[in-house]
Amino acid sequence: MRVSRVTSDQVPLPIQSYYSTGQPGDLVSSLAHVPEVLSVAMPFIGQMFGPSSLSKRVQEIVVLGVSALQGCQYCTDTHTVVAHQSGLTSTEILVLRQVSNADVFTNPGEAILWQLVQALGHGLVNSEVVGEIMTQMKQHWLEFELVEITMLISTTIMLNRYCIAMDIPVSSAHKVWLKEQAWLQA
Amino acid sequence: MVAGMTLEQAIEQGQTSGRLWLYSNYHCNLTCQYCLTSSGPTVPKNALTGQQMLDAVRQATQLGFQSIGLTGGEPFLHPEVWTVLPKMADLLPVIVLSNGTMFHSSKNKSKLSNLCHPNLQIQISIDSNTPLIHDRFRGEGTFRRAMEAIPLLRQHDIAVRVSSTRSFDRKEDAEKHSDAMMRWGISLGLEPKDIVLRTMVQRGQAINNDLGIEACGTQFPADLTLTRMGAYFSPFGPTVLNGTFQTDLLLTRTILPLEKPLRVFLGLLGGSSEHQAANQSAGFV
Repeated sequence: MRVSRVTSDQVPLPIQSYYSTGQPGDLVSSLAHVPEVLSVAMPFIGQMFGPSSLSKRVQEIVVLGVSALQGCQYCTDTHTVVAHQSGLTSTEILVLRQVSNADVFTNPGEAILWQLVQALGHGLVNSEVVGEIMTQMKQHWLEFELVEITMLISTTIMLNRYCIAMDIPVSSAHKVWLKEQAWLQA
Repeated sequence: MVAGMTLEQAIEQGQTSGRLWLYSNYHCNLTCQYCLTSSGPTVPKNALTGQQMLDAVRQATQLGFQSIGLTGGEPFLHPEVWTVLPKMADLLPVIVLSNGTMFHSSKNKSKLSNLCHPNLQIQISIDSNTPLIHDRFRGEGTFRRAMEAIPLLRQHDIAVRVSSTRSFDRKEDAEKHSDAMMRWGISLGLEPKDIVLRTMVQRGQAINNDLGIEACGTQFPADLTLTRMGAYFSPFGPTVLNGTFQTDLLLTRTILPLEKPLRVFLGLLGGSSEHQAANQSAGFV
């Protein structure tokens, strides 16, 4: 990691609860340098990535898909594990990781969602293309879901950039799991 | 208004003294054995700007703070301190902590008249009335220079007080030191209220020199403290150990507007009696 981890003996007073069960992960350990950011960022991140109106499957299509497009190794590998735990198939995961371009999202709502992820997940965004996709999205998703999906895409990009810049390493447990998956090695 | 307890309530309940502390800078011409900030001539200055200090004091006035403490590093190494201090003292009573060695040059002597203000007091650190003991902590010749500062400042009608920072294993030794400092201070013409005994705490450079008493978290007196590195729960907070800034008493990196760190500070105070006890027992000044 490119900044030091705030250790348990140096955790700032207002954010001690994040260390109550020991040294937290690298995202928290780095954000802890700025307690006022951590104390608003983590509830926000928890809301966006935790239980919400979106299913875990939809969340992981968004998060894994965007992370791979953004080139964030940490987020891509970590969410490969989460996507697998959330029930996505190995074929779907390979598509989201940009390893395969198979036509796996056949459900119309998911198909247009995948188009939106690809349109917004790239560095350059074509507003007209996004507009067309959003129009089609409205045929399959409610307005509040559009808001939540768009915020999840945006939040994922924010975290992708943070994790790339900080060079946050994939956990050793996840590395082991990823190595054991023969279908990922192709 | 800040959510939860107000500053006024916190002061009334003895949870905080109502003094806002500012660390003007981290560098110093001395390298004292127990310095919280491990200050010295070669450490990064990490100075607040004069404008930040003035803005903080203006906002402190509006938010209900009752006084200002300015410390460092050695504040009088900060060129803007000489000019902002009278402006700060126009707003609230100010105490400046100094090692007392910065007033002797002709350049600085010529600026002393700026510091004559009824709301401004300079606290000179004199750890012992025995020169050898003081110099052991602060460097050879520092006792003499600090002592010379007292009449020099008084000649310019600048209010002076002295503080001794020590810790003792035995209560009898602490009492003996206290009595000796009081007698000595009074012999210099100081009033007892202007002879301050501070506790040496094992933080910062004191850890490396195995000095001071151990303390942590809520044992420290709770007074909001601003530095270039952020806002802290206590003036004992912004310590530096082997070049690393300690963060265990950090509240926010945001220092202004002052209401922002104050909100976090008051949120931590709650109704804790520990803060009351700390504020009564371990004064910083």
